[in-house]
Amino acid sequence: MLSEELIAAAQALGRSLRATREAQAYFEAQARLQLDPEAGPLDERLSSLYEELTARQRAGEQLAETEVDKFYALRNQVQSQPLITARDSALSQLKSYLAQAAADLSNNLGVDYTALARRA
Amino acid sequence: MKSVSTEMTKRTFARKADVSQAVLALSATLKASPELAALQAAIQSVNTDHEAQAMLRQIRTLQTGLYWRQGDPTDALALRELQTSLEARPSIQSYYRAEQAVREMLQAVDAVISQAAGIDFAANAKTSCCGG
Repeated sequence: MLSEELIAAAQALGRSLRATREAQAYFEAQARLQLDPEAGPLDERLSSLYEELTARQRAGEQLAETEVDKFYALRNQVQSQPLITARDSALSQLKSYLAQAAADLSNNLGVDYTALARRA
Repeated sequence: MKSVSTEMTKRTFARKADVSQAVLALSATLKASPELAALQAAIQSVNTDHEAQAMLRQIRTLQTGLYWRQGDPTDALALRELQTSLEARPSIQSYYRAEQAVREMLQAVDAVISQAAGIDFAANAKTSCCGG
């Protein structure tokens, strides 16, 4: 159970992160992608196929070559989609910014914030 | 154009200063928590537990030997026994308990940050070799 003071401080950090240029650029890129009738479903198909294949691999299944080829073909198609690459680029910049904020938090606390706070 | 660009830069700097200030405020609140104080005390206890320190040194020596394949085949067994003995020490048990309490607190804090930010904070703040 977190104290009210801790919740307020965490909310303030979250709100300030949301207001950064990096976060706004990512949200806008993601919104443009989701509204696009071609790129949006393509992105979702790749994500769900990736989740499915990695889950099966984790369960010990040996994937058929045709399935892996299908995944890479879809990934190539996705990587040539400008809206998807724009979103990925915005996310990459946002991640760098978040990593810096988390590193500052870790330095102040003397513990690795990212390692401890990540949920499995 | 020049004035617009300057204005945008000013706004960006203001936002980054907001984040730095929010990080400092959250750090101060977390540092005042009993969970973090208990973890610092547990780390201090491990550091002054001479037997635990000797075991840790032995473990590192055995691990290095096994990594470079310089060790005796019995070293793997000795390593496991040492690790078991180390984990049974009260100072180490206290450390694990304190770390778990801090983990649970930071996960709850991270959920609040993530909800307000609109993106999972810790999950996306991890740097990797591949830029992911």
